[in-house]
Parts: sequence; structure tokens; C-alpha cells
Amino acid sequence: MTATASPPSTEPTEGAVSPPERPSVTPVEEALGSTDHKTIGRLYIAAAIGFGMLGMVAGVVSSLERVSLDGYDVFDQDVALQVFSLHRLSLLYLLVIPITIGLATVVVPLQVGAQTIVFPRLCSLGFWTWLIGGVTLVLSYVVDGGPGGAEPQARELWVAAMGMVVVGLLIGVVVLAATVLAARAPGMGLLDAPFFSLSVLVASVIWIVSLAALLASVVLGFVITTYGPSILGLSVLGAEETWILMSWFAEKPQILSLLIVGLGVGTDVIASISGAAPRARGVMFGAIAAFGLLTFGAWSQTALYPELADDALAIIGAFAVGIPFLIVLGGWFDVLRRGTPGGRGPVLAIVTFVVLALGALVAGELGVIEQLDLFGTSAISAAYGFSVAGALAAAIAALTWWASKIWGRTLNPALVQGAALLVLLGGLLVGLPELIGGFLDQPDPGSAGDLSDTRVLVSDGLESSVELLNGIALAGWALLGFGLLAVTVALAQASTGNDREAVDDDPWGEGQTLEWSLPSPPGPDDFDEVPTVTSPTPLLATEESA
Amino acid sequence: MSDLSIDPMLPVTSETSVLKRPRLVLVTTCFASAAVGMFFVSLVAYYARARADALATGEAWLDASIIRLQPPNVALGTLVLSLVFVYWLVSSVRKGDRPNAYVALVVSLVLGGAAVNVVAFMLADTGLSVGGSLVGMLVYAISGSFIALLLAAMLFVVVVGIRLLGADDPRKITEVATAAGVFWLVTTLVYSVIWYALYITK
Repeated sequence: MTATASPPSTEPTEGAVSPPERPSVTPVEEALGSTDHKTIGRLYIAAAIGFGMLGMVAGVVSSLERVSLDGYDVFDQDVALQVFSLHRLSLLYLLVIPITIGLATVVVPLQVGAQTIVFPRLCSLGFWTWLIGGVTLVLSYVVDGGPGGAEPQARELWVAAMGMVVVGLLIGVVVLAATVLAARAPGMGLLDAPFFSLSVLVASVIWIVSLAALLASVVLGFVITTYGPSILGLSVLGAEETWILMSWFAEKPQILSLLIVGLGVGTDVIASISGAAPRARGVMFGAIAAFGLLTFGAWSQTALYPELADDALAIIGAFAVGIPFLIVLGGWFDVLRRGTPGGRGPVLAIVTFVVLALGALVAGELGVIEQLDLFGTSAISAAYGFSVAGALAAAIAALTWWASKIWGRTLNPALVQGAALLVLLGGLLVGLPELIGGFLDQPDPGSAGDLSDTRVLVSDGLESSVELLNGIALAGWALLGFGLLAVTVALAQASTGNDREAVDDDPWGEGQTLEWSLPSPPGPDDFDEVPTVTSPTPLLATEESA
Repeated sequence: MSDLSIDPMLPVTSETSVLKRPRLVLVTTCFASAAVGMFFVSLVAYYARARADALATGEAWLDASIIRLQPPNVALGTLVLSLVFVYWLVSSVRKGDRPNAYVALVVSLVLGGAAVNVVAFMLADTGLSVGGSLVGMLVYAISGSFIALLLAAMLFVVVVGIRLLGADDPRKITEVATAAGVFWLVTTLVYSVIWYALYITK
């Protein structure tokens, strides 16, 4: 080593050039100007949770309108669409995807032995583009923009903000994919990378192509909003049309892409708490990659072209996507069987992820069975609810597991367990009523239709049942909101608590991969010396050889 | 650990602590190119689907007479020619041949500018208006996005030029030059798809 921790001398000696003093940097300055991947990742997580709380509140308010099918009791039709779209966009583009990117931005460089993330300034640019876009998106609603908005310029602002959000996310995932692919430690082959990093690579590649396709939808939407005419032949132009053009991202199979990273989180956590390394890494990675590939959904824009819902590719894909998921679960059971699983760590959050992901897969499969006639019903939203809640559970698991590397402190176990439980209950209460409502012919709330039609469309005599189901879904969104709130409190305790104690490099005592060899939190340069890796689970291998 | 203290503000540059990461720019450019490709494939797919729907219902689509074939052919030819010069640039950089690299860079930018000019001319030449019809809106969205892409590709080549000016040995920027070449290739491929979808099939 050529560097020491000793500070530069303040008394110049003869013949020596005294180094410049490091300017004092306030936390705010550090946050605004940092290119440290850990700082950027933390900012992503904090901002995503803030937006997520807004989205959960909008979800509750939006559901309130659906509790009674007697038309619009709380808002008028346009405002109801504004609140609903704010809810969906906030959870999808401002909570789930960015919190995943934030987690990966912190953890992936540590896992793969990179000294920093690839192109840190580009990473920072992606974050700020996304954040400014997200804030502008919310503000556009405040000035009566968005789908259903009455102010033309605010509607244009909404589409432009959506474009900024998508571009910011695109930059974030490009940087992550390049980090996993090109910045691994010496000796670490692609299949030797930890599964979280591999799942981030898969998710990044899928999101690169699908967010690019989404950007095309937004660009078209912007031109329509600004100039017209309609591509869909709608009487309403602009933001509503953009909303419909973008809707494929919130439907199956694309919505299932939110679950890709959860497979990687679960694999790493379960292997670590079991003390056994996953076998057949190639098969496991192949299964995660196949799952990711099958969730690509830019081709399936059923809101524009409903006949695609009955396409053979859609039907085969809906069932095939479950196979790689089950293969990964099989790998988890194999690890659990060979190891000595402990009860520590975010086990409940992983279980929550599995239950909700299975719910999303089942909802997607039921949706393509022609005889059930669920297309266009609220069963479409069931897959969305399950997927968002499942991805949130995976994020809670990851935040809990890697908290010491992100915040330098472990999270309050009671709070994160409570959060996982609330997300489990909330996810089930959101997803199941929407799925059952689909069987009762309740229209999909995402289709921007007139709520007044709902009573006409639902099966005869079952209106009160649908109202009850919608009330349960409202409770589900409220529980999910409380789950997110519990996470927020746990993170606030971890990042601002005065009783900070030093945390071990590996507070779980079970880590297998490189990040657990670093201090908690890691220093500015992560690895002073980049290690040469000879095993996919270097820490476990070192322990076994010792 | 020696007792040598260094400025903590400066990055540690010893060979033992900093790993050379090959192909970072190239890999990142490939991912960005994939996004660009998917973006244009999506736009062209919207165009193709709207055209197919219009023709299936017997509605009027694009009047073939308003699109002359010469300008798009010239644009494609210009881009293909520029591709040759961009790869001359990459080859010169790889060989450390600075004079040839400068010539190739300038000619590439001139040809890129010429292609921007032709694409912009075509928009005016067709007489379509962005808000006048669905086909006009789609043609403007696709062509406008392509002009933005071409300008981005030219900017990338300008960055190579700046790096070339500052490099003591041109071979040190081979990766950046290659990445710019890949991006230019993708830009040309994108235009070839647009050329076929918009101007040949109309």
C-alpha cells in the first residue's frame, strides 16, 4: 500500500510540498455533488420511498372512489383518472424500479469487486434526471395536468416529465448493466458473480429495451399532446392517449419484470443463511435470464391492439414464465436442504416475495385463458398489484440484508419484520379482490374507462360484492402504505440515530460474497486493493479452507 | 503499510490499487445502442401498424407521389459513406496515425451534417404537417428523433476529436473511437430501417 490513513501534515517541512487542504463539505453539498455510488444509491432509495408514500396515498384515495359503484362520489371523472394515474406511475416509475436501481447502485459494485460504479458521473446524471423528472411529474398534477387534466400546458408538462423519468431510469440501468458486465474483479467470471448482481444484469437488459420502447410511446404521446392527431382514433387527445400508449408497461408480461431482481436477492440471502453455496449456477442464472426474457412485453400492447391478448405467444409466454421461476425456487430448496438454515435475516420478506410473485404469475396465467374471459377486467390489475407488492417485499429484503453496507447500521428487526408482514397482507388484499372482481366482470381500473359503466358491466346482482371487494383492495393499499412507512422509520433510525454503534463487516456472520469483506459502511474507494477472486463464494471458500 | 502520506483528495494511482478496466466505454455504448435501436424499432412498429390498419380499412395513407426517392437515397448513401470515414478514423487512431485521424474525423462530421440536412429537407419536401394527419405526425416523430440521434452520434465523434487533441498517444483512445464507430454504425442501421419503412414502402 502506498496510502495511509494518517492525515496530511499541517506543518510544511523543508523541501516538501504541502498538500492542499480538503475543503469542508456539508452533507447537503456531498449529496448534491457526489459521484460516490453509495451516496447516489442512498439518494435513489430515499427519494423513491418519498414518491412511494405519495403513490400509496393516491392508491387509497383512488380506491375510495371504487368502493361505491354509483358513479363518482369523491371526485369527478377527470380528477379520478388523475389520481389513479398518479398512483400507478408513482409506484411503478418512482418507487419500485428506482428503489431497485438504488439498491443495485450501492451493492453491485461492492459485490463484483469494482472500485466504483462504471461512469459515476453518468450514474449521477441518471439520478438527477429521474428525480427532476419525478418532481416535475408530480407538480404537473398540481397544476391540473396529466391524464384527465384540464390545463393544456400542464398536460404537455406531464408528458415531458414522464420522458425525463424514463430517460433517467434508462441511464441508471445502462450504468448498472455495464458495471456487472465489464467491471468485475479479476478472476470473477460472469457466472461467478453473485446472483443479486446477475439478476440486476438481467433486469437491466430487459429494462433497457423495454424502457426504450416506453420512451418511444412517450415521444409519440408528446407529439400527439402537442399537435395531434390521435393514433388510437380517440376523441380525447394528448395525455389520456399517452397514458394508454404507456399502459403495456403496467400489464403482464412486462409488469412481471419487477420481480427479476427479487430472484437474485432471494438466492443470495438463502444461500448465506443456509451456509451452503448454490449448485448449478449456470442453470440458476439461465432460469433468471429466461424469466427476464419472458417478461419482455413491449410487443404485447393490448390496450392498442386487443387481439394480441389472444395471441399464441401471449398464452404460451404467460404459462412458460412460471417454469424458470419454479426452477429458481427449486435451487433455493436445494440450498436449504444441504445447508443449516438459520432464522435470521429477511426471511419473512423473502417468503412474502415468493407468495406475491406466485400470485402475480397465477393472475397472469388466468388472464390468458380464453374461457375465463378475464381480458379487460380487473384481473389485469391483480397482476399489477401482486407484482408491485412482491417487488416491494424484495426491496425490503435487500434493504434489510445489505443495510450495514448502505447505511452502516443494521435495521430494526421488529420494524422490518412488521413491514414485510404488512406488505404480505396488503399485497394479498390488493391482488385477490381484483382477481375475484375480474371473475365478476369488473372492468380494469387502468383502462381509463368511465367508472359509471362499472355497475352496468358487472354480473347481475353482484354489484355489492364488487363494492366489498373494492373496499378490501382499499384496505390493501393502506396496509402497503403502512408497510412502506415502517421501512421509512427503520431507515430513518439507521441513518440518523445518535446511538450509532460500529457494525461488523459481516453483521450476519454468514456472508459469502465480496461485499462482506468490506467495512460497514465501506470507505470512499470501496476496495483499497481489488482482490483476485477464485471462487463464486470467496468468503465461504476462505472459511472452508480455514 | 508504508508511512508515506498522500493527499487524500487525489485518486490513488498506483498499479496495485487501480485496476485497468478494458472495454468499459465500448460495453456501455453497446447498451446505449441497444436502447437506441429499440426506441426506433418501436417508433417504426407504430408506423407500420398504423399503416397496415389504414390500408386494411381502405383509408388513405401516404400519397406516394409526395415522397421523392432521391433525397432518402442520397441520405442513406451519405451515411454509408460516412461510415467508411468513421472506420478510417477508428483505424487511424488504432495505428496512432494522427493526421489521418483528423482528416477522417472532419470528413465524417461533414457527411453527418450533410445527412442531417437531407433528412430535414425531406420533411419540408413532403409537405406533410405534424398535426395534419396521423401519417404526418408519425413521419415527423420518427424523422425528428432520427435527427436528434444523428446529432448525438456527431457529438460522440467530436468527443473523440477532443480526446485526440489531448492524447499524447492516439492509440490510448482506441476504445473511445471504436465506441463512437459502433454508435455511428447503429445510427446508419437505424436510418436504413427508416429508409425502408418510410420511404420505400411508404
